[in-house]
Amino acid sequence: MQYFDCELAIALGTRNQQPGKGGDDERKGTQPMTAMFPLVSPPPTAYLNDLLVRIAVSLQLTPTQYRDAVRHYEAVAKWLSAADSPLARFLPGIFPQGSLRIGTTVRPLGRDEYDLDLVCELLAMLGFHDPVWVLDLVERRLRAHGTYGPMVERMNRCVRLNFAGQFHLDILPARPDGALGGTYLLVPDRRLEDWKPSNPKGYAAWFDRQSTYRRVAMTRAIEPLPQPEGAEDKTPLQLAVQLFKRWRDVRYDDPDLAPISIVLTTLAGTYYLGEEHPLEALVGIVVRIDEAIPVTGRLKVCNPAHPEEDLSERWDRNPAAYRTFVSGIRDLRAKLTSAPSLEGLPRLREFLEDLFGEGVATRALRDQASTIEGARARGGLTLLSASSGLSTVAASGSTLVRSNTFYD
Amino acid sequence: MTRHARYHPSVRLSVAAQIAQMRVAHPSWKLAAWRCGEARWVGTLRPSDASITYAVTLAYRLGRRPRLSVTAPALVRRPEAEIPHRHQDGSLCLHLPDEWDSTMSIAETIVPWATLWLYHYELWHATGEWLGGGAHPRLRPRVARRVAEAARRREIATAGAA
Repeated sequence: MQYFDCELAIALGTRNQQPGKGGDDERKGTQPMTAMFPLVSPPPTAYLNDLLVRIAVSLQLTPTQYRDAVRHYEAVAKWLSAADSPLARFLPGIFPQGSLRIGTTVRPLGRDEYDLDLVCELLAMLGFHDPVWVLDLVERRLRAHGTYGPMVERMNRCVRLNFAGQFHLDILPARPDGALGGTYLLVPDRRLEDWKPSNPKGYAAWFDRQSTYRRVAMTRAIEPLPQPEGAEDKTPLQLAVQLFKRWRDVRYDDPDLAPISIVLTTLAGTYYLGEEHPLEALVGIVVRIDEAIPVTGRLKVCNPAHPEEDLSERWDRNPAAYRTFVSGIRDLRAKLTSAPSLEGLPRLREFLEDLFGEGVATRALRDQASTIEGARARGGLTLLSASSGLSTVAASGSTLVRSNTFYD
Repeated sequence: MTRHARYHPSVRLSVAAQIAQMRVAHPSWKLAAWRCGEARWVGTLRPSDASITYAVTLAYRLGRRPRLSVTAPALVRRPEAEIPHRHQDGSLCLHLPDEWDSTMSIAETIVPWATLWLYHYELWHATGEWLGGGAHPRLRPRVARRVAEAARRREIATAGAA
């Protein structure tokens, strides 16, 4: 079974029979170990995992930016549904979709603005309406707003609000898909002058399920280090997706060749098998993707919330993009699987810079050092043993690092 | 404290006591020599699970400071700077002169400090900055410590604020 099977992607119960020899080997290799020795042996990659968590967290929306985004889209929702709005009769409601909803935002390379997607669901728009008319209606209403009016930009499938230096809010009008029901929606497409199927809530629910697949819920402190700030409510899958997307941004200069975020996110969610830490999660995902790549034809990535939608159809039109995707995955697999044997923080920095960009690796190392130094200053730094290194958690048999001053 | 200890020899740890404590705390280390009152250990240190394993030697004679040197891989300088916090003989500068005396256990002080030193040595190569704090030798020890303690308080304050 070489092709990635759409039905398998949505049939969660059959995930264990997914293609990919590596999948089974991985599970056998890692799961019993952590179950049997939950406290005694920290993962041999605690410091690297700590750096990866720090990199992912440093790239996502800050809590302030997140609160700002929510405040603005709530104000937009109010404006669209106000009594004097021509949209009011369609009962518009706004909810986040994509990376904002599933917690995998990544700051784009070389610019400050995050791309944030929102759905403006017109609950009461049941019959057919001209899609371009609906897009224009939303645009006109937003342009009439004192604050948001000047920020409006017309796009193919949405109306964009530009918050310079912060983010864009892409507002996608949508109407319920009467034929399919449930959370299925139809979204207008200006170029095609037609409605396209979509299911953002279904997708988010699928991603959440994949995140908490097996017993893993949240990223825990990677002993012997404490949990980095900002990672409290993140799952290993979310972190892996952020790192995966960041790798894509660094590796592919040409946006026509770069795999799109939803393809990477869907692949990651599909091939994640419950690893507890971001490195192991990303290694597992990339190895299984590589093994799912068919010898002939191409990998097909279907929308798990809309099985007949091929998210990767772009690859049919652009075989070069598919070829660079495949060579990228092979290269990433080779690099990631060699990571645990890297020795020395300078080598580690080179490795991280190569995959995730220059500034982020050095900043993660500095953050880690300040955590270690903070523990040292508080008298909370210990030496586990001469061969296993420094720790910020006291374990039996570990030695407290007493106060000292490097001199000369 | 060192001066004081001369009148209370019982609080000083003998070389034999240090050897015994090292054997318990760091069983992988070997006592390579113990003659004429000087003990010499060889062992390894790995500051983190992402670090190089360093071979080190540690020499101690009662009344002198313990000297810990890295034997392999050889410590290297950066193109623009010498390795910081080292003595003339190449051993690591792990403490101010009055932060260690012979009443203290080498196993519980010198060895963890050297591990921390090596962590910062690797970070220094990775980031170009020495992030482990420390005092400057041109300052007198008392002043040096005041400077270092102020820096440490700032560190706690920033860690607390963050």
